[in-house]
Amino acid sequence: MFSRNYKDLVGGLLLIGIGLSWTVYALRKLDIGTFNAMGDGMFPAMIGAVLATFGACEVSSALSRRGAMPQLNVRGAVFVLGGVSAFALLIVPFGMISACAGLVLISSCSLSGARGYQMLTLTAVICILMWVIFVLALGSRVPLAHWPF
Amino acid sequence: MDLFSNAAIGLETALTLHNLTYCFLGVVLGMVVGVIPGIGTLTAISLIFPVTFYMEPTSALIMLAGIWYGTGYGGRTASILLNLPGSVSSAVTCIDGYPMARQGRGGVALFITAVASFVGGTIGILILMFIAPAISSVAIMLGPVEYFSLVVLGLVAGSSIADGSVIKGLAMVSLGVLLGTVGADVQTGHSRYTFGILELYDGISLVVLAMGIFGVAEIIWSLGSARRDTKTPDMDLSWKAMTPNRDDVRRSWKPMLRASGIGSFFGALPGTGVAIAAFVSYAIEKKLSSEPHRFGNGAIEGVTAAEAADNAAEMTAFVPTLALGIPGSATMALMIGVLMIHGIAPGPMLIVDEPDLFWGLIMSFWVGNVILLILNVPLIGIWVRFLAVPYHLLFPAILAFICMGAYTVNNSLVDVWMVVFMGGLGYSMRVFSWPAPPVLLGFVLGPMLEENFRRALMMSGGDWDIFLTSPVSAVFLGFSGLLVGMAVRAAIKDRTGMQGVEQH
Repeated sequence: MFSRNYKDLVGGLLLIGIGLSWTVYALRKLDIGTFNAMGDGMFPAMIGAVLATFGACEVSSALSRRGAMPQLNVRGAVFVLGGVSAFALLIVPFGMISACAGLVLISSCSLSGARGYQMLTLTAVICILMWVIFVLALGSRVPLAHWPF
Repeated sequence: MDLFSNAAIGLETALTLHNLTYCFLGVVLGMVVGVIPGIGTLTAISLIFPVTFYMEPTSALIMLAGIWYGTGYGGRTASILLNLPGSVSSAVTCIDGYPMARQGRGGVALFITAVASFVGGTIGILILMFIAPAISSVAIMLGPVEYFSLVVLGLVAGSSIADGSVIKGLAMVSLGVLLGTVGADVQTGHSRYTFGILELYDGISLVVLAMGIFGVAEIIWSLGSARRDTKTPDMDLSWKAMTPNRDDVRRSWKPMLRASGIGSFFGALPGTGVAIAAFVSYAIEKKLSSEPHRFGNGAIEGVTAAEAADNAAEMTAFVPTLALGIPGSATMALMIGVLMIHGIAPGPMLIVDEPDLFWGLIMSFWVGNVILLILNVPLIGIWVRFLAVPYHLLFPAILAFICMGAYTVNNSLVDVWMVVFMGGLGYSMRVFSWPAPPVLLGFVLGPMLEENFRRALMMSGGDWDIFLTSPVSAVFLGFSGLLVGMAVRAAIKDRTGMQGVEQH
């Protein structure tokens, strides 16, 4: 029991899941057609099945191997992805400066020992850099600061 | 000989002060933009090339050549030093390039890529001059059946380079292909897997995919590993540390030459060429090496092979592009765009009607490469120093680049959310030890796989035999099977041994 490779086991199951759901979606929502005249669902359905097969291979080989447990950096994942999400939420209504600030502040929470003063300076530096590169040099039209209300 | 007079015409055009300046400008501009982490080569080129609209076609193309080299170099810098590849070929480079950077040998990696790309490019150009007519006639003979099998070969090669199990690599390629199906189906125009999101009609953007799976995932991973509080790897900044030592040179020169040859071959095949070239060369080097375990851990041969092949392929990609009007790579598609804007139609008559343009362009690519090689030396120091910034300050900056890059490409919020999604996906992939570069390959080649599959079956009336009855196709499929077989055998031998080495 303990000699199974849980990482690959779970991984393999996930792959099966992804593959099957892709195939199922194609079968239900897309036109399959025949081999002679393929519809737009045929190919994804097939590849989904292929992926699921590979997942099954993973599972079967995982059952007979040892392996380390996966290490998860949940805190890092949450705050980094959270930071990018904050950017996505803030940029249109509030402009670039707020979006960058949100990004920097939230993603820095993924590390312990972040100091407030440092964060502020970092935000300022990053905002300036972003402005120079994207607005000045590349000419994108991103509002710097904006108040939607 | 005809060849040399062509080269002479080319050099004459390329080396005028006017054009040289444009080339130089292009290189510098390209480098600055290309190095921004999160901005891929293609994005960088597309951002700059509107500038060329106002110039005459020859100069415009020449500047584009410079830009191309510059952005390629910048992109390589980002992929080696920060594991942020902007294109499929830089994804291959960073497999060994990034570990090298982690070992403090980033400068060496950058240097050798510049040299490898120069050698690859030069050999590509030479082969181009000699074989252009012959290759075109072969390429025309490949039909959908053969193309399908060729793409399968490319995908299998792409998955067998993954240091983990072959199954994982193949699974990741399939995942990439699936991600490539998102968007409007080319033939029917119906949207697939878009879940009602309008912006996904054009599919997931490659740059966004790469930034999420490679960039964001890498950041999350690094934050979790022991080096989070320390600086990114200490790099010896002395001159000596930045140039390759004798061992490196000894290991590199043969892969360089082999890869240039392989790259030249693949580049000439319209459509598939460049993306596959780097992967296949890498896979071959790994198979030929007496120390395959080094690959993925900072093997300089891997970096060299990937770069040389990529550049050789980009050069020979000129053949189908200019001679047949079919772009051999995305860059070539841009070139065709420039030509058409200036009212020049690429096609077989181009070489005859406008030899100045054709050969001048090719020679400027070479000149651009030379300029790059020269500029490379002082600049490595700068990039390497850039990384001495402590990681907890650096990573938010990188995230900001990625976010801004993703948002500004299409002024689309969906792209930024995609980065979040892809970042999560990419990180999960690390957790499960699923290799990332094959996903990129599958994503890029998936549409081609599908289209040719469809056409082939239409031609055969739904009969699958056609893939084996065509001799060329059977050969390609045979090679694929061979690669899989070899890898599976190696994996079985290894079974009680190490659990496939993680990506870093």
